[in-house]
Amino acid sequence: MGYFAENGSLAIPRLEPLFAAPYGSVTIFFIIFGASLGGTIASLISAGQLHRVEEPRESATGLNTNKWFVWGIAVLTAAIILSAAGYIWILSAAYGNGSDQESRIGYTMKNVQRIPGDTPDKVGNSMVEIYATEPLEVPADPIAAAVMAPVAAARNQTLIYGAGGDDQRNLDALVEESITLLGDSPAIVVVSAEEPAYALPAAYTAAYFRAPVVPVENGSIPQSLQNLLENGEEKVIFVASPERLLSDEFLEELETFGDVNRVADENIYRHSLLWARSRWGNFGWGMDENLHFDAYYNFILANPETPEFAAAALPMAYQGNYGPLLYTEKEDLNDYVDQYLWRLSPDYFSFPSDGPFMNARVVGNPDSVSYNAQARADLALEVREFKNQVAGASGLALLGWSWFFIGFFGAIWALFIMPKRLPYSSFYPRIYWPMAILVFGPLGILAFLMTYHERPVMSMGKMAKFMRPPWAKALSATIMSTGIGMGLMIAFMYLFQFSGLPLLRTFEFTSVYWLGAPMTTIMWLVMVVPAIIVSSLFYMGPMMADMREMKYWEGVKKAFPVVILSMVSASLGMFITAWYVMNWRGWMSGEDLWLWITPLWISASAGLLVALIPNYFMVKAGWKEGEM
Amino acid sequence: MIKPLYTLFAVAALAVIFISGYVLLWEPQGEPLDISTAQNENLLELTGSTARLSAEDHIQTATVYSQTIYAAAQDKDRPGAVVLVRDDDPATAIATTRLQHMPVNAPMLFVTGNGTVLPEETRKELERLGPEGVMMDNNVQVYIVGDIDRSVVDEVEKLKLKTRTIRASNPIEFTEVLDEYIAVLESDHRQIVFVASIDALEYAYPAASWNAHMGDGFAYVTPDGVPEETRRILEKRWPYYPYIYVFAPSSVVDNETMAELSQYGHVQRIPGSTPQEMAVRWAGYKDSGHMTSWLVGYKSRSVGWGYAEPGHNLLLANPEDWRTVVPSGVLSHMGKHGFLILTEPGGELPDAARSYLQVIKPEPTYPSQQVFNFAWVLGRDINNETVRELDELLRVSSPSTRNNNSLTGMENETDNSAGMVVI
Repeated sequence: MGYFAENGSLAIPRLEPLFAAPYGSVTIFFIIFGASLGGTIASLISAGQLHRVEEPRESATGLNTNKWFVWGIAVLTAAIILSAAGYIWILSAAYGNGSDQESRIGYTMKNVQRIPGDTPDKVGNSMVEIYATEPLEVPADPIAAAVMAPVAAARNQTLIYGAGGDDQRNLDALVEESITLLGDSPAIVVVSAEEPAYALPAAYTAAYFRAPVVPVENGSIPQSLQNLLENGEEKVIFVASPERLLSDEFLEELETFGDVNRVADENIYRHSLLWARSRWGNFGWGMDENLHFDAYYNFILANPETPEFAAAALPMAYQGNYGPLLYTEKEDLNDYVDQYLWRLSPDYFSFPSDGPFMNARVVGNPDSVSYNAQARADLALEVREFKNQVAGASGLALLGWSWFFIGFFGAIWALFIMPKRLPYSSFYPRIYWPMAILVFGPLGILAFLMTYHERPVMSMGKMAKFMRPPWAKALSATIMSTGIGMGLMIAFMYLFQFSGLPLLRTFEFTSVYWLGAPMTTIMWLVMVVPAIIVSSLFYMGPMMADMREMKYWEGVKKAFPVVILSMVSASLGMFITAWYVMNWRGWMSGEDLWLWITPLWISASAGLLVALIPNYFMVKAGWKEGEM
Repeated sequence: MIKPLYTLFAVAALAVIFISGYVLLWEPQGEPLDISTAQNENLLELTGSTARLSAEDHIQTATVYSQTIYAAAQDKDRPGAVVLVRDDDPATAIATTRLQHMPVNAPMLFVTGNGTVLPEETRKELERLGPEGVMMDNNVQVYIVGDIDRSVVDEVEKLKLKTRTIRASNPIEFTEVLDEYIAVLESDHRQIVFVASIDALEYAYPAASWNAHMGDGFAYVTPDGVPEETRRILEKRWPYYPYIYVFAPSSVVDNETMAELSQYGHVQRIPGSTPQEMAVRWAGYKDSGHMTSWLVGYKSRSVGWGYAEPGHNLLLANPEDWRTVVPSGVLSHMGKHGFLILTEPGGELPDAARSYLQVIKPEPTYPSQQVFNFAWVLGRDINNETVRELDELLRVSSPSTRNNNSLTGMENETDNSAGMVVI
């Protein structure tokens, strides 16, 4: 899928920023997504077919308030985390609403400007003002402009579209003039005189490379071209029209004169991209997203339904910050073009001012190309840090999402598989294991297997106990508190990021100013303190009360120190990792951006590893169970 | 026991409800721009390698810069916040550009009438931008900075925007107040500190432009020496020491003051005897080396644009009106990330800029590898002849002199695009 997206044969509407990540990471993401989904389904189906000799008895008695508390808090936490993750996708696909733009004075944007001119003729006038070179006037006919653009380029003139009363000028005479001047060019571009939208992307290339453009009417080879091809050396002929306009038979006829290539696509947007991407020897722009070597690309953006605008803008193919023509629909940037721009979007490695930079210029009035389509191109072409693409997905973000989806499908798997494969597991593990796998990803699945795989079961009173070596007991006990605990920490972090992290100016001008800093003290506090309180009151408290057959408040009292020890140690691992990657490695991200997942999920796993230490001792001291 | 399916259903349903809640919090969809493309053509002139950004007055000029950077056509092209400064207090505005940098991400707009009036243009731009809010500070949407009247704060809050005021009675005091705020925001005091003279602000324009791009420290000295506030700022870099860059020639900040500054850290003077020359030298300046720590988490310093090769962008401004120059920092902060070059007071290119632009002029290679330069022309005090000259200096030497029109190797090149049909 990544491959096809990369090669422009597949347009993924509106999620292009996701595919802007390096090809390798896109592929890894899809493989992992598919494998996790497939593995979950396969495992659950095969578990359903398990044949059991005896019906598993329900290992715990019915529901009570404590159990409802725990279930409720787990469901709520999971829902907050999944809504945070899901919103990133929704926002990327939906873009979010734009503002009223009536107070703007014009269309100039940081990466995309617009040529003044509401009609093609006015655009023609603007070209002279922009380039201030000697004008070459052509009639208001896109094909005539396409023919004359290479001529103007070779003479260092600016083509003015629709100027003068020269409308009746014979197209054949223009072609003759072009061939006389540019006859030495080893490449010749042949276009159909019908549907000029197909001819123009090729005309932009021809204009820059000074190759003659020869229009074909009624499917016959023009005389001037025939003369040139018969007399001169062998040429390479590029036919820029699809089969519908210039037939295969016509191409066969041409082949007697030289090497003929059809460079065309019926889809007009892909047609423009084909001409922007391709390069044959020293002909063609060669702006291929697979092979862009720190180059600075400029584009001209027009609507194929109004090819006159694209024709009027032809001087931009060879003057100033020149570049190829791309097409877009009116309302929104075309999906293929959007994808192309996001894939090309420049990355910086040290400083954003280092470049590369890209720029586009829109030609057409707001009925031809809307403000929103322009703004979309502007967003796609912004230079961004390689590791943190901000609006787009980076490779790092996709690796995080790969990790996340293993956990996501793993959690669903654990939710359904535990009652089937572990009939002796009790109510609580069936809640906290899926949650743990959701936040710890592959590490959670590994912990699950290490805790339950081939462990003998012993029945003690109403609870079944799994016999495990001490390290596995510690692991089980750690998951018991951190599964939901870490989920709570991520959920609270999200809620605070969503509503803005508190910042206290109380300690300004003192040496403990950092006590009010959002990224040090506050971030730690908002993650840990609410999570400890909620976990004690609604999770560990009721669970301990239930398991040890105590009153609710007794359970909370028992749970409190255990929760504090577990969560504080887990948060230390988590917080230090998060702080390091965010502050030193540049993985900082808003809660609505693709990179949000990566630092949090990686730090959660670091937290699990650190929390193992105190949990080992707590199990040893009998504060916690390690046999559930 | 609760069936797993019910649990899954409950989680999914709640998550969908939450997501719908976030979507409902979106601002209503506005009308996209629908004016003539030729409207204000003269204020937004284009040439091949430049674009002008100007307006009728300085208030609108600042909003044009903001409109250029933030299209506000979807969620991800809005700013984090907006910085409001007084239009009669250049020293505070220059010191403030560092706040525009990430994580705040803000354009700078003006308040008029000695800090008592929120002009109509500024208000409209605030509404258009609809800032996202600074995640690291309570989702603050507007910073009201310097000695601005409470009535302006009230007016902004009436627009349902969350504000943060950073107030001080004079610019020198302000630098310290802002430095403390940013220290809390970033959990650190910046090691790099730029120093300018409160009496010769035009030398500080290039530093202001860099600071919108990098957010380093900023402090003032006076003709009497180093003020108390600046001393405290420099001392706060403990346990390290500041790297101090002075944006003033020796005629403005004498060597005695330089020696005083050197008691606090490493001091360098940016070369250049006029503001124009200093801006050009700063574009080519790069000071690299040690900054913080020797072991864990060390950061090296890299101060100055330091460009001596093609492929960079610049802002060209006339230094006569600071209100055109200082808000342009947002153009260094995003988009083209241009450095600032100043014209002579009459609007011509200084010789120093001409010779520098020769250094960064791109040579033609091949379109797929070509490097380009680009410039924003700021305000109306730069005439068209200068823009033509600049355009000529920036652009790739004419491709018509190119001599690569051969198709050698063509047979070996294949295009892997699926749309290509080769006969």
